[in-house]
Amino acid sequence: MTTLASESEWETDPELKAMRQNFVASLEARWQAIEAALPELSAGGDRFQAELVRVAAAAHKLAGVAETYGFPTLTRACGAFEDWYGRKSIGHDPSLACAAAKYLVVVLKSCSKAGKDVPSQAQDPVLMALEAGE
Amino acid sequence: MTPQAKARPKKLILLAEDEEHIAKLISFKLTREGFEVVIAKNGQEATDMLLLRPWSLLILDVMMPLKDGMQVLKEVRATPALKETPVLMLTAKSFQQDMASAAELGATQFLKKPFEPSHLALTVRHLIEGGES
Repeated sequence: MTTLASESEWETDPELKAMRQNFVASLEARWQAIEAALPELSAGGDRFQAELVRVAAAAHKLAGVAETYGFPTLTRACGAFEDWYGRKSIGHDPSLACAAAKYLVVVLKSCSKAGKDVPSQAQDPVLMALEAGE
Repeated sequence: MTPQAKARPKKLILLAEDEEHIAKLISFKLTREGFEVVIAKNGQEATDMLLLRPWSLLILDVMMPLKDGMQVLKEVRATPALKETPVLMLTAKSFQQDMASAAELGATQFLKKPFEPSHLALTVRHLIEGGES
């Protein structure tokens, strides 16, 4: 795991513990922002592309920071979204975009609620679809 | 640490990273390693700070608002006072592409996110102190 501190450091170092608590607290706003994009993603209309770009940018940022804070599941989920998004410049399937964004929301909510990384099921269908390049 | 070592001014690092949580964590780790870290929240802030202090190292995230890391790097290398200043680029998914572009622009080294703590500290130490006798 590529985290900037060992699990025991996160718990025993007061400054690290506070930083991690702040990071966990930030997860709510992150999933709410992605959730707000779901209607436009689902509709596939005029605002679809703009909302998809916004979600992809959010996933990119979170992918880079999450595992560093000890949340590899978040990094994996966001990385899968990024990879799927990056395979095309336009023409993304709205139903898959919506499913992928919903999956991010679910993973974010789980980790936010638990206050720690919550591993995904190994056979999660949405994750598998994203990673397989569908 | 000897009194002389303690009295030595700390090496200055400018960290340009818009993701607040990773900026704070990198700053925390490098400060504990004995460096002084100043954070710029976007590429424009970083550019504005370039000539304000004698930086020993610039750490630039590639993707930032207002001005990205590549643009900042270009401006760094176009500034005579900073031509030799080591620059560490933080890259993410598009690592290979970022690396090739940044190398052409004069980046010294690259680190892919997420990264190991020991790797970050070693990389920074090598860049700042590796060339010193």
